[in-house]
Amino acid sequence: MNTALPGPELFAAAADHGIALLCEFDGRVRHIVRDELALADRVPPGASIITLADPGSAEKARQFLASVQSQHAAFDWEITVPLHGALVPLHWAGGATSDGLLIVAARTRNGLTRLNEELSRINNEQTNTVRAITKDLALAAACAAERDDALYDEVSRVNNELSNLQRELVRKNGELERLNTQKNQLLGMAAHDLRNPLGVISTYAEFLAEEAGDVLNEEQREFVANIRESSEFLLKMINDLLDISAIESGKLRLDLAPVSLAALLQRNIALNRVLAEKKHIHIELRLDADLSALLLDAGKIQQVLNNFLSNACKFSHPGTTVTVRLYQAGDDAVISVRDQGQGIPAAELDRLFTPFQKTSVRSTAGEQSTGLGLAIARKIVAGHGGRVSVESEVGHGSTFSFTLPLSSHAI
Amino acid sequence: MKTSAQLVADKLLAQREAIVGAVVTRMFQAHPELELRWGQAGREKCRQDCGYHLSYLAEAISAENVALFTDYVAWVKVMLAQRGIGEADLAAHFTRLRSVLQERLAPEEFEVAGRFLTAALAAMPTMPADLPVVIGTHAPLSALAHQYLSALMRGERHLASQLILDVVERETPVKAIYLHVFQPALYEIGRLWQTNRISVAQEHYCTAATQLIMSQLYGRIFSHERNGRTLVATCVAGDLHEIGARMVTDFFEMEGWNTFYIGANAPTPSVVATVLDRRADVLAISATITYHVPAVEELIAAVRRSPAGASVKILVGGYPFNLAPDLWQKIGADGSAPDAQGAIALATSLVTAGASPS
Repeated sequence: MNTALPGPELFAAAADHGIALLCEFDGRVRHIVRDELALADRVPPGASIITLADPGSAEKARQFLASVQSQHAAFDWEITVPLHGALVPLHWAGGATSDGLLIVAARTRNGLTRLNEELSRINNEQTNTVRAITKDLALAAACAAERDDALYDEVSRVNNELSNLQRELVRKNGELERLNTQKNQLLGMAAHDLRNPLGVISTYAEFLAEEAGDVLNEEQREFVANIRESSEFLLKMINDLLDISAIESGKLRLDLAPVSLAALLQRNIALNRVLAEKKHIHIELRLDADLSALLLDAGKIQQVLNNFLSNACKFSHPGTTVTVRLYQAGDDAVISVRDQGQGIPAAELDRLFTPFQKTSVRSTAGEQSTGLGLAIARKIVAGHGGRVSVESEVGHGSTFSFTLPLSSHAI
Repeated sequence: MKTSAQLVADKLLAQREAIVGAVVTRMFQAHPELELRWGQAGREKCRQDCGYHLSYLAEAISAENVALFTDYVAWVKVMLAQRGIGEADLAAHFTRLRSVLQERLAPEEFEVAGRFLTAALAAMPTMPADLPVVIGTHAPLSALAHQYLSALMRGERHLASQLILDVVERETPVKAIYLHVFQPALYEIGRLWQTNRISVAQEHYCTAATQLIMSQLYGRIFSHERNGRTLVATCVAGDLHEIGARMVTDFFEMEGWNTFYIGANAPTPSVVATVLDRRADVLAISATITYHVPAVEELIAAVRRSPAGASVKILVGGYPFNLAPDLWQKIGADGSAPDAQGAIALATSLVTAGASPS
């Protein structure tokens, strides 16, 4: 049996099907001239042509109708129409005749032109109007096609530029990655080579102070003390540099074990208290949460605490109190360190945790800082899945906090 | 000092409007039905096409290379044949152009220009009206090239991208993808457009998608060991066809050169500045359209006048230079190569010779 399946050329023709309607001047349908899209049911005589459009495109359809009414012709408006269960953008054209409007819509611009040409061959009262419109349409179609070609070219130019930019970005990014790796290697190497001789200087200065203390006069003892302090500060700075370069080259290794935060805080504060007392600063501990053990790198978390506490003492005046609190906020354990120190100007808070950034605030007893401690602290906390934060008010003090997710409960 | 051929070419370009006007007027006089059929828009299109023919003719005359023009006519023949305009119409058009030139040029000038038109007219019957498929079935990676192209033709760029990334993941070298997938696919897209089988929109889409997919491979291209040599590459202003030049630049990068591709819209002073700033060993200039060759010549002259001019070697490449193998010499370049591998070999030998004169 010879089935009546449409061949490819029929499908191709369907791709530019359209509809042609004669309407009153106000846009009400008078008569459907051609209906290749099976839309006739949707626009019975007397219905507005606008009802053909998808409700979302009704306003555009109204504008189109107004354009046909006022200009006597409109060409190639894309207006969406519900068609066989989908929303399809149709190309619309229209023209005014002596007794009404002729509206044509088709799936493609070519379909529009074809439909007009076909209409112009039909011998009826609209022939002359259709002919006139067709000529305008052909010119408009050529202009539109040319405009589209020019736009395609322009889009290609934009795309070329974006491609060039992308190429340059990837190239530069590769270069930066190489440089960053080199920087980290260099930093690690330099720090290693500096640390050993510094350790020797520091140790021998200590020997000298202890063993030859009696022989030296006051001024000489001060010299030795300066050598010790400076070399220890340098050592601390190199350790921080090593830490930060190790962390930045992705080598933050956490030695996780179940730890009771409360016990860790108690131990740490006992040690820090000794140093704080020298400056007549009191450290108070408030445990406001009863938490079970968390999986932590105890040494690294102590490093963070040491940093927060030594900062609090550095920037506080004698006779004040530093309060350390442990509490729970949502799914996090929070450790905060509040001082009654000088506070930090709001404008400087943002860059506090960036390496080598120091604030305009001076330490109260001339203590030095490397400018790396908070950056390291942030990385360590982030490595545990937590966040660091700071609140501060000039003249009243600062509160540095960090969170640790309770989900890292030791099982 | 300009050659007599160059003077003829200059005259054609200077009188371009008048020549084109005369040809189109005669055409519409001979065929009044065209006016009815195509109207003002058709006349405009004719003027545009005739203007292109004249530009190509002038450049071929200036380069004294007949192949530059006949090859263009062969391209036009295929393009128009697929759009319903036959060889007879095209021949009539060039005959009309020849008689307009005969009237407007001095006899010795017409002798030069007429020779090019006569050669093209004589070759026209043997020029093919259609073009063979570009992607061979036995070429390496040809199956992939076919899959890639058909994915793009369906508008499925994500699939096309995945096809490429999958084979690269399985250690197919990026160079092979460039040579055996992107290049033939792009040539095939050009052929499909020329023979009216795809639209302008499809052509632009396929090129744009290929550029995007290439950029997904950049991570691999820019991780090669450096050899200490630097290439700056550019296209002449206005040339849309940048993708080939960028591919050649990427090949240099994969050979260890440090490359800077500055595209088609860098003004001459900024090209010169880039060559200086980057201390380029080689400047590569690409042109795909024959009548862009004078722009290449001007750019070369500007670079030669600059402080970078003494040390940088200048390579030119692209379609017109492949057709006319000695064209590079005429415009003051140091050499030309038909493909990326040839360009790298030539650039390396020029730089090596320049570094140790013996």
